[in-house]
Amino acid sequence: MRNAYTRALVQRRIAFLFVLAAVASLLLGGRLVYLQLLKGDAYRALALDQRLRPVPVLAQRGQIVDRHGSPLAVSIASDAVYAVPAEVKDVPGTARVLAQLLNLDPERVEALLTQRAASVWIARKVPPDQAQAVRQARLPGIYLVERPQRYYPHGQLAAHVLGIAGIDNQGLEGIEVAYDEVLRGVPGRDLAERDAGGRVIPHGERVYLPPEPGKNVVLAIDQVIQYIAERELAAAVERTQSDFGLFVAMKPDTGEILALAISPSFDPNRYQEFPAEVRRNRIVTDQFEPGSIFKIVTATAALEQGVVTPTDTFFDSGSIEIGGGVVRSWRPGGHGSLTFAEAVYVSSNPVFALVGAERLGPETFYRYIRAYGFGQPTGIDFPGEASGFVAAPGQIKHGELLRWANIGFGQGIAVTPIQMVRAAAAIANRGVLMKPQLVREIREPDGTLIWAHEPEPVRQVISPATAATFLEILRGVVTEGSGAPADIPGYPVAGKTGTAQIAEGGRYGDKAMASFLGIVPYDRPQLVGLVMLYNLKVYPRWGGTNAAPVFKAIAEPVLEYLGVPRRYGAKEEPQDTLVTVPNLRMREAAQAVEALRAVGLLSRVEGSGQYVMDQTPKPGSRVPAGSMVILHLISEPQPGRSVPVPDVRGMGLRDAVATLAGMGFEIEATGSGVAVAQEPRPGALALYGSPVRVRFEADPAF
Amino acid sequence: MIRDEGTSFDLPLLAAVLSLLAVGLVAVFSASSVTGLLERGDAAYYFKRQLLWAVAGTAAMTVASQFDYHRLRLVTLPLLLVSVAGLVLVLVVGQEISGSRRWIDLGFLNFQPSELFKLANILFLSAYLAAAGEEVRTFTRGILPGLVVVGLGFLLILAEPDFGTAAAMAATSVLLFFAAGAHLGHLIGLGVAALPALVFLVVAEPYRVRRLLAFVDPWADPLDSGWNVIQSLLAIGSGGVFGVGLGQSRQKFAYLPEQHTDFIFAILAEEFGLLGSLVVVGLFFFVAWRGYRLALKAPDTYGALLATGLTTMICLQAFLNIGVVTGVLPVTGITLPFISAGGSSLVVTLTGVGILLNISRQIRP
Repeated sequence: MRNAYTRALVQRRIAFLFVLAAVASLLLGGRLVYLQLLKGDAYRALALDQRLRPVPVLAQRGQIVDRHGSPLAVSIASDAVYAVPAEVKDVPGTARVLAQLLNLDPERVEALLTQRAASVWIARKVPPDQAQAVRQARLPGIYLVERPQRYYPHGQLAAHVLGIAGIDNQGLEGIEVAYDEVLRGVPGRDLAERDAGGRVIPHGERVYLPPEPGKNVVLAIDQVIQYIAERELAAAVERTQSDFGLFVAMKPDTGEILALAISPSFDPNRYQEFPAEVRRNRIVTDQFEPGSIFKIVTATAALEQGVVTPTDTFFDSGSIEIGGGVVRSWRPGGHGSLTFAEAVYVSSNPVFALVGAERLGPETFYRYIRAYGFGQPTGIDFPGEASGFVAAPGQIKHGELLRWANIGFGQGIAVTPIQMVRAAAAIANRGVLMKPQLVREIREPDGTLIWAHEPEPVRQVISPATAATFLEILRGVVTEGSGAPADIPGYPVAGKTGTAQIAEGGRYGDKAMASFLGIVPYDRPQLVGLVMLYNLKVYPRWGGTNAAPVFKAIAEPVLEYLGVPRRYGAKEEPQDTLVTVPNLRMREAAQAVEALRAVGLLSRVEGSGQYVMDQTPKPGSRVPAGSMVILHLISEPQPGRSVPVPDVRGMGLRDAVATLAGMGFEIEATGSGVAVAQEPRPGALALYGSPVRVRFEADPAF
Repeated sequence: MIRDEGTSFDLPLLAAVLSLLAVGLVAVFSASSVTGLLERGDAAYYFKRQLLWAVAGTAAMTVASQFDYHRLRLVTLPLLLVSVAGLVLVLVVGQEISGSRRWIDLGFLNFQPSELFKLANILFLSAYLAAAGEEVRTFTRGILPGLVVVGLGFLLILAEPDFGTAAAMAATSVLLFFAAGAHLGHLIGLGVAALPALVFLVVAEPYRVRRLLAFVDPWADPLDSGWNVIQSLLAIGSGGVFGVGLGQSRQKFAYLPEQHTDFIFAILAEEFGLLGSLVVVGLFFFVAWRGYRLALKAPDTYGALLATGLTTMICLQAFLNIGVVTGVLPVTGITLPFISAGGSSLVVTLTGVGILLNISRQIRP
């Protein structure tokens, strides 16, 4: 009975367990219906969402080509090595092998392999042989992928224009960044179901949106002209020991930049190895005090306004007091009486100070400066353009007139090289200022033209007549003035030299910049170029002796390359015994003597120095054979050197000042009349820039 | 005693078990192919091993079905001693895998002593509870002896640690006490007394607290503690009504951990859909029905308790596993009988089925 009771209880309890199992089954079944029937779609969407991960597919970056289609920047497929740290089995071993194959630091690789990331880049732009070695090593968790990488086939050629593109094919500097949106293309997407480790699930959903390749940018740059410019500029920078040099050439009728060179340059393939300073396109981003080359602005403004004519005569006495200051001529004692055209030839600062500040006056002068585009960006299609600086009339509180006098010969104003060359190009383009253009066209990868850059005239700055007149004067700078070394047989060059002191910290120090602005052929301009050599260290540091030859060296082969025929003027057959005096300015003394002997003229040298500063009679004069030509020599004194003190005894104050200043001495004058005593004595050596005390007494003759 | 030798064993039970076994082999193949390929270089690696174990288990089942269950009482004590010794040994020489020692490497196979203990424990409890008769309703002579054995095994398994197996074993034991007619007050009292210990066990291991919290709201920490449950739910939900098809699971691609063991049901539900998952739940319910029916019809109390214990062991574990995978229970490491990959478990479970079949043969019509 007891047993029966127990068995009955056991039976009930077992039946209860069965009920429990039934309830549990129903609950689980209900739960499954809820999950799979009611929430099925939602969970499926969530799961798909989790697995479908888009992987961007890099677009092929567009090419940058020169105006004739030669590639300057291309995209090539290169291998990149990456690791999936979670799959790497033997971290130290893998790191050791990778480091050896890829020439990397084992510790750095090991650090990368232990990163908590889905994947890490080990090396990019891997050379093919190294990539093959890594592929063959079959290291678990190490993968290779092909990615397009930027390659500049000509190395540093046009580097400052091209700029650089980064490791992810993004533009960082130059045209690469200015036209990044055009070049970049549209990345595609590889939308695939992926497992938790990022691997594509076989037979999963997959959508592949192909990338849209970037478009090609056609530069206005001509790679031949660019090459010539870089070669000659680099040679000049080395010869003159300049900090840097730059050259920019513009096609005057379109505003297109044909060449843009800066030396020292860099290789964009290895841009990390060069300081940012070297990579900067100073022609667009930097501003300078232009010095004498700016006289083209003063002169054309004055001619256009009619406040001077080429034949107006001026007197350069060596210095001029204006606006409470003194403007000195670079030639001690001045150039004497001269026409306006001659003032341009010899680059007389006092004449241009007078023309700028008084004949034109601040308001009018400022209007022309702005009309030439100074003090504002040119709008060139390049990033980081500087606008330069021109103070508006009334903006300077003290000594404004002196400031405008200084601007007359290119001081007290900041301009970019691109602004300067564009102003000269406007004169060469019948007075029409153009917007500078670096990019000519944008094309599809297959060559289809998408967009062509039409020339963009900005405004008529001066009349075609004024422009033509002034080009004749600039031609005279080369035939008769300081620009002689730029002349090319058969290609008549017009131009303007400049030798600017470099202001540092608001003061003019000992550094100088030599420059030359050239237009060739001057009567049918094809090429306008600007050469600047910054802080050159070869004496004399004049633009005529240093920068003008660079222009010649570049322009001559370029014009030949462009197929411009040489034109020789009618041979100057001597009708009688008269000979034409050659232009000897800025020539070395020995050369000048030789040149005179060659045409049957005698020579006499006055003053001491290496270079011809001036000559009598003037170049182009017709004199009988056997006449005497006087060569006035000068040597640019070098700072820190002792030079003989000139004898000023018997001179008036004005001449004494000019003579001493010409040799670099200050004057401390006492009394008035004629100089009767000086300290240091004549011929004694004294430090350049040191003061000379001169006592004046009334001329006993009177 | 008259026996109808070899004529009337429970064919439906055998059919259900073999169905589950077949489903399990297919599921292991599908679920483990990706992991097998990635970790072992052979998509069929786990399938081949599981197939071998299924053959071995079926052999064990056949032997057990021919072995008179009454005579099992002779081997119960030795088996219990061996399994307890194994549980002690595993703590010393066991292979440590992800922080716990559960397996003893026997060279040709990995042996899991806790699985053997589960079987030995049921054999022991059934024998002694049947012998206790009405005294089962007392505490000291009815429940305490069993409690000592269960408690010892529980602590040893917990020490590995293997909380899921320990808890499933303890729950099966308690249900067996219940079936044997234990005083409800004793069982409730036992539960109340165990509660603080249970709370302590959970709080002592931070990962158990996190799992418990993840159970309450898996989306609070979807990338870490909530990951398993979320990925499991995504797999099950993705299956919909008809499933994505055999071998077409997407979640097995490294999203779902333990795809071929603890979470195999999720892959099954994804590939075979609601229809497939309900069939599996239905098969386990069928096993429960046949098993408890057997218990009710068993020729003696010992057979009844033995059938109850074995059925409960199999079905409770199945429901706990599916409960975890479907997110209605907190995550504990419990495998799905017949289906999850794992040798010791399969052999032990099939041996249990063999015992059930032997009981079924001794039912008097």
